Amino acid sequence: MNLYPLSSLFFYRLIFTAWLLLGEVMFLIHMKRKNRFFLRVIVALVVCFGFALAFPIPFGNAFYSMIMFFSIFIVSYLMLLFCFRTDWKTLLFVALCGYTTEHIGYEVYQGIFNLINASTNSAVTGLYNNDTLLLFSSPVEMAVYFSSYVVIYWLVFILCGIKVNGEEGSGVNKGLTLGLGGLFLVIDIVFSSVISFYSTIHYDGYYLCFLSLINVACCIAALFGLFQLFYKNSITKNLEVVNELRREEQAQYEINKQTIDMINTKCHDLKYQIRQMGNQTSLAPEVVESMAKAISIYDSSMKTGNNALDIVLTQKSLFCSQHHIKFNCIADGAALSFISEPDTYSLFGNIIDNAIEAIKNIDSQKRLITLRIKQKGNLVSVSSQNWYEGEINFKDGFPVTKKEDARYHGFGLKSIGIICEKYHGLLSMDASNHTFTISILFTHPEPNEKKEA
Amino acid sequence: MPGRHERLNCQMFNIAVIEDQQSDSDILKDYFQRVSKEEGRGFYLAFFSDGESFIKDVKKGKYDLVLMDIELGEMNGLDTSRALRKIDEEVILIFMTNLAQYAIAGYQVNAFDYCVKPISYWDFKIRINNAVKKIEKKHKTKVILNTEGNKRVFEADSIYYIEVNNHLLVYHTKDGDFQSYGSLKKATEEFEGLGFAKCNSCFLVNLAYVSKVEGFDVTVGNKTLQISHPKKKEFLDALNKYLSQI
Repeated sequence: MNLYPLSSLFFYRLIFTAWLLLGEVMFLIHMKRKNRFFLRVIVALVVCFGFALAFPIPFGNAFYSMIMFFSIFIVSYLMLLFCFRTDWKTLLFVALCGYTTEHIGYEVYQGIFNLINASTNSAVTGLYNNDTLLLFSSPVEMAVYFSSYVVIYWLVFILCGIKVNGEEGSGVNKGLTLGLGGLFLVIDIVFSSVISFYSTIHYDGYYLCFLSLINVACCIAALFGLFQLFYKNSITKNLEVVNELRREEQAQYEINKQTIDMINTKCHDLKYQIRQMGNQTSLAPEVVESMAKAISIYDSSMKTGNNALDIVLTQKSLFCSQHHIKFNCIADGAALSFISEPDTYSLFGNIIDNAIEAIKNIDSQKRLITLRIKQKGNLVSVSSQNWYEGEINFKDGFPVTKKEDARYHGFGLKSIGIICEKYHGLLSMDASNHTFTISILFTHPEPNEKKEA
Repeated sequence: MPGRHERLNCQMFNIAVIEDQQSDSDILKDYFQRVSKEEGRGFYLAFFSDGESFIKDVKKGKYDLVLMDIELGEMNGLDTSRALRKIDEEVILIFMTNLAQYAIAGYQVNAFDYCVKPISYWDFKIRINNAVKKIEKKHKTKVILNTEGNKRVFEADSIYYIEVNNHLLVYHTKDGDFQSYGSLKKATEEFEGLGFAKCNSCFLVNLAYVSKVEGFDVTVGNKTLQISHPKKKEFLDALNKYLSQI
């Protein structure tokens, strides 16, 4: 038996592999590459094409071509795992998207071509036929073929490919991923192969054209569904991280509050005892008084008229003085009374942390954070300024992080955004003249009007 | 003739320093001389060693900038500032303090800024330059109007808002309303960077006098104007930016 008959299928295996890989590449922009990436890519290409070429084609039936396409797909998926260190689910998602794209291209081409040929009512060879070597029966077919693929690939890339960020899969259920994968392969491979071979026996151009249309619709729906599942998942996951951080901050706030209260009580007791002792000993009253004063760690700290703000400012200003950062703050804490304590703590914790992050490694003279909270009528303005070095680019109003670990960086600013939104504040950020400014404007109802409302 | 404003290069700034430590006063004198040399600005300095003598001396508009030590003798910096605000509510006030937490309450007397002692030159220069920028912007921008054949001069600072009515601009100011021919578009360009923003296509508002925004109403001075739907975002952004200027 001839395992490699020289038919059009012989070449089609390679063409298919090329389109499949190109489809997958469109979704790979943001995947994390393994080391020696380009070497791996070369190996992967050799393996994929080598495998496609080596795959025997003794029979020309639907079942057998199914196995062939499936095997090529699996090999390409294994090669993705070989080249990228992104998780397997995301890569499977990428591979399925790639295959589906290829399939949409193919079905569009089939649909259009069958429509053109419908009148002839003769069996058209299709791309993989074992009787002839010719891939295309006419220049028209070739034109249809290439334009279908190019347009479809371009559309898919613009609409889907560039949005993939490489974190899609990590939260998706395993069973769901595999189940969906199977469903996709049924759509992509099984239906198509059966139709292709059946059509060589009973050719009906119009019928096939509509089948292709249905197939395209199926694929688009499937791609859309797949995207919804994976892409939405990555967004919810981001939100979850922010919420998780908020919960941690709130827990921390409670602890800090308790600690400071406790220290204050102890300090108060100690002060009292020192004064008592002073009365009974021969120590000079000034000495006793200065000892008593020295004990009040938190007594002399920030007093703004807002508990949560006092706590966060005290904490951050202690940190700042340890790190030679000047922390310049004029704050009307009472103006923030409409914001809950945990939210105040989170909001200002994040604002100050963000500034500290920007200046902690620059020239100590320039390590200056300025915070202003002021009220005017029903307007409450919060602003923070710090010097920064380097460049900041904005995307959607938020600075784009340049840090290697983009996963957790930038969540502080997102958290600020969420709290602002909650209290209908207007948030804007600016980075001109090496000064990074966060400005928030709240227009809160004045207390007397609240009662009326 | 449309309204015209000039940024007069009045390079002399009147500054009052209230400081009870002679050594700190000397440092400030030296810093001012350095800034003056580096930036080409002239400063007229008046030193006071206690709050009482300063309050006796000060008059509305006499000084452009007041540098106040918080830890003064009998009458402390905060008390002195409260007394100052009764006389001059607009002068720019910068506190100097040994302990940052004393300055946190500066909002009560509308303090512009503060420096923590010992004051470094870099710190000082940034703060003085910020203050000077603000002074230049506000006080030195004069508007010259030809209204009903008379020339009138007033400060941009004193305008509440400008209203357009056909081709007539009405300047609503502290000293009354003045009319002049012109377009709001031109006025908007002229007042660029001075803290003015349009709340709808008829009004150009001095953001310094905005005291309330509720829904689509904005209170300017004692008038309430409408904010138009398409201008709301832009107007609030401008207001946010204006209020956050330090």
